[in-house]
Order: sequence, then C-alpha cells, then structure tokens
Amino acid sequence: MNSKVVVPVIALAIAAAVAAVAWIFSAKPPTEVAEPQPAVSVAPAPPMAPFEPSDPVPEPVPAEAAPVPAEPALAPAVVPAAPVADDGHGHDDEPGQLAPETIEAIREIRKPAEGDGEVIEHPDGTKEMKLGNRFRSVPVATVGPDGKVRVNYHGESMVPPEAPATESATPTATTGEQQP
Amino acid sequence: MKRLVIAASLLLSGIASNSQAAITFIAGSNVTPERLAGLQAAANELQGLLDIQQNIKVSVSFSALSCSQFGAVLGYAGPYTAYANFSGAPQTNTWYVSAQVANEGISYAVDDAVHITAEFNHNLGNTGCLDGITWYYGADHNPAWNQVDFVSTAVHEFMHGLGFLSFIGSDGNLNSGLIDNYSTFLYDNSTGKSWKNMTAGERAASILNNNNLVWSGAKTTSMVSLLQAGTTASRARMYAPATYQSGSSTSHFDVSLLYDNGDNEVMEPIADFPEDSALAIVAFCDMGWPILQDTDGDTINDCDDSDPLVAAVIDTDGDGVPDSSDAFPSNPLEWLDTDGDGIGNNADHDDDGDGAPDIVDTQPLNPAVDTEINLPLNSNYDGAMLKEAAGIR
Repeated sequence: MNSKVVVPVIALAIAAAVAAVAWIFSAKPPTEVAEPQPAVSVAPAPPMAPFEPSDPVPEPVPAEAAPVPAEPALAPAVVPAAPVADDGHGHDDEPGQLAPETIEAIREIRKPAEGDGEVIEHPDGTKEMKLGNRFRSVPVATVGPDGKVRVNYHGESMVPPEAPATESATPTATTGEQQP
Repeated sequence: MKRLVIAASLLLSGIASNSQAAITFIAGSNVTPERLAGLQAAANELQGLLDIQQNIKVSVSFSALSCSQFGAVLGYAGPYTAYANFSGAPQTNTWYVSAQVANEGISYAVDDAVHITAEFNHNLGNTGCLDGITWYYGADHNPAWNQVDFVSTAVHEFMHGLGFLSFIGSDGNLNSGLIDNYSTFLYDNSTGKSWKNMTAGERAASILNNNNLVWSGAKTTSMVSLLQAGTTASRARMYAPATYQSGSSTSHFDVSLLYDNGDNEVMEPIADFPEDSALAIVAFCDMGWPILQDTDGDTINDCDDSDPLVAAVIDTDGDGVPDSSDAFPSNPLEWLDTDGDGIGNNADHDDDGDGAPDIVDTQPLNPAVDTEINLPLNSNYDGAMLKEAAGIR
C-alpha cells in the first residue's frame, strides 16, 4: 500500500472512530446535571451604574416586571462564565466579588454626614445623638462562580479598610470605627 | 422538661397587641404598590412579634444604587438617632435607638420625624444590575432561584434599626463615652466579663474572640435549647470572627446557630434560608422591648413567661383541672359536662342524658346504656328521692 492509499485509509479510520465516540456520547445521558446558570453568565459586561442615593429618575421598567429566565431543569452543559468585555475597569468585577465602584458606593453610604455623631444634652438630662449615616447596614447580593445569588446582609464587611491617611486626621469625640 | 413547641414558623407565632400603633412607612421615590406590599409584609412580621406601642417611622425609597453584572447594593438601613438618660431609661448612661425610646413613649423620640432610614435598589434585575436577578416581594419567603427575598432582607435590616446592633467598633471604644443597650448584653466567655465592665482594649480583643463572644440576656439564654448548634456554655454565640468584619462582627448571632428544625437565625450576617427569628425576638425582650412572641402557645408572651418553651398550665377557677380541659373554666364546682346540656356533671342528675337518673343508672356516663338498677323492695329509696335524683320536681 503506498502512501496515497494509506493516508485515506487512516483518515477513514479516524473518522469512523470519531463518529463512534460521538454516537456513544450522544446516546449516553449526562451523569451530572449542570448547575443552572442565570442570564448573567452570558450577558455582556455592562457599564457600572453610578451610586445615586437620591435618584429621582422614574423607573423606566420595573425590575420585577422584566421577563424572568426560566430555570433550566436539565442544562445540557455548564455555560461558562461570560468573558467580561473590557469595560475599562480591568478584571475587578468578577463573580462573587464587588466591583470597586460598588465598594466605593458602600463607603459613601456609610460616610458620616455633617452633624452625625454630635451629642445634644437636653435640660432634663436626656442625651440625644444623631447617628445619621454612621450605622447603616448595606446588604449586597453577589452572583458566585456557580451562578447562584448570595445575600450578605452587610456588604460593608466586604469592603477593605481604607488606607490610613498620610496626614493626621482631626480627632473626634467618638470611636473612629463605624458599625455596623 | 418536655418542650411542647419548637421553632417552626416562629415568624408568625405571636399573640395580639392591644395597641393600634404600627411600623409606618414614609414613602419616598419609586415605592410602587407591590414594593409597599413587601414592606408591609416585613412590618407585619415584626409587629406580630414585637409589641409596638407607638408608631415607628421608617423613611423608605427605591433608587438606583450601585450595581454591576455580578454584585449589587441591595439597599441600606439603620437607626437615625439614639438617646440616653431619658426619663425611665432601663439603664443609665446607655444609648438606646430612637425606635425603642419612642416605643416607651418618650416625647423626644415619639416626635422624631423618622426613626429608621432605609433605601433599596430599584434597578435590581435590569441590564447591568445582576441581570435577571429580581426582588421577590411575596410574604411567604418563597422566592424563585433567581430572586432575592425582599421581606427577609427588610426584616433583617429593620431589626438593626430597632436596636439589634452594637455601636462599638474594632477599637473597642464606646460611642461618645457611653455604651449602647445592645452591647451591654455581650459577654466574653473566656474572660468571664460583660462588655460593660471591660476596658476598650478588652472589648477590642473580645470582638475577635471567635466562639466565645456570647449573648448574656437571661431570656435568650432560657431559650437556647431551641438550637441544635451555636452555643457556648449554654449561651447563644455572637458573630466574632478572628478577622474583624465591619458591620457584621458583634452585631449578629454567629453563623453556627442552627435551630432544631434546621432553620438559621435571621440575625446572622449572611442570608441562609429558611430563617427563624425566635432568639432575635427574645433578645429584644432582653433589651427591654415588650414582645408578643409566644413560642409555646400558652398565651403568655415569651418575655413574661417563666418557661417560654413549656406551655403553662392555666387553671382560672383553681379547681385543679386546666382550662384547656375544663368544660367550666370559671366555675370551681364544675369541670365536666358529659351530655353537653350545659349542666355540669356535679349538678346534673343524668350526666349522660340517657333518661336514666344517675342514682339508678348502671353506667351513668354512658348514654348508650340506660339500664337501671333494680332497687330492693322496702329500700330506703323512696319516690321523692328518685324524683330528686332525676331532677324532677
């Protein structure tokens, strides 16, 4: 058998083997049901929504009215986490983590406003302290690598401590840490 | 001691309040009827368990809070004002959140424009904001796989606003020199010291004392047998991870808490459903709140119940028969009425109502048998006695 004959024969044999393997796998039920993935796993990376605590803009489409993707009972395969398009923020918006903008927004929500922490003493001896923003808890939801949504009632616990200021801060009468 | 009721469905196991006061909402932007229903469901749960005596004012709105493809700020909430040394304060030199002070009728707090501030994310589920993950506003805590249970989130955050939180941070310093009500119940099992008796340094160490920071309130401690896990020295553990977590550390029960029925505690820092609130509510009792929660269903709220896990035996008329099985709970002379004729067996001459007077009925408590005893001739029974026995006059 010369090489011109050998090559087609080998190619034919390989094709037959591939076809056989494909047939076997197509006939065999999946041994493991993939975890259903919400639509977020395939959506393109969106721009970050800015933190607007007093946003007066009417809601264009109520979130709960939007069509909800059905939970696939038997997903044929795990949909890989969508490659996040370059949004100018690098790879810091990843499953299970908060984006830097969200972390900054949480800091902003808990940032003491003017007068927060001040104590007034009334004539009858009652003390009054405006807590304001200082003890706000900030629940967050994240979608993990498994596609499941998790709720942490205190997203502020996911915020790394800010780097200490290089200049000495003005001392206050109260503790520096805000909690919760 | 046998426990009659476990922690199942405790979110709704309360008794009625005499007050018409309520948790009220000052609605800001984007509070749609559906969202208001979710807020009201959260309020209803709390009102069913805490005895709200004065209106608690919650400012609430929905707006575009920060979110991205994989993470979103769901909202925020917190108490707005605190008071100390007001008239009748349970503890002196101690901060109380305004909601509790208002509930005690202190005018400063009653007159506050708002007691709790809250805001929630109205973009959840829209493109770029956890796409496809939406709020679930139902009261049944049964969200779909791609929904976030709004009511549970609101209940948790409102509980912080009502005072389930510590004002003390990682440095252990008091806030404006005073301890807060909640922190007075924090106790370090290693040192045997309450936080109110600690130095700032000791508190700073205790904050990180994982598994050894516990809640010392007596009522909560009396109910820790509802748990199958999450106690140290028979007290409920508080969340004190070795690495401080702002907002989460100390202001929650520990994540190891697990009720007998498999539920988690709603005041753990991470949502993990299903959740119950039995211990959180009695912690409010420890902190001085009147409560309605009645775990054993004996109509005595857990706070006033000497044994909140065992139904008290109530015997109003003192006849030795509990009201629950007394046909005449207010009549010490009667407790049974076999034939249901409204005449107690002690006064009824025909208990089973079969027509045969008890005095001659071979089975006076069996209406199916009316066989009469053959009285011997010349017996001492005369017709008048039989008539009297039969109630015939």
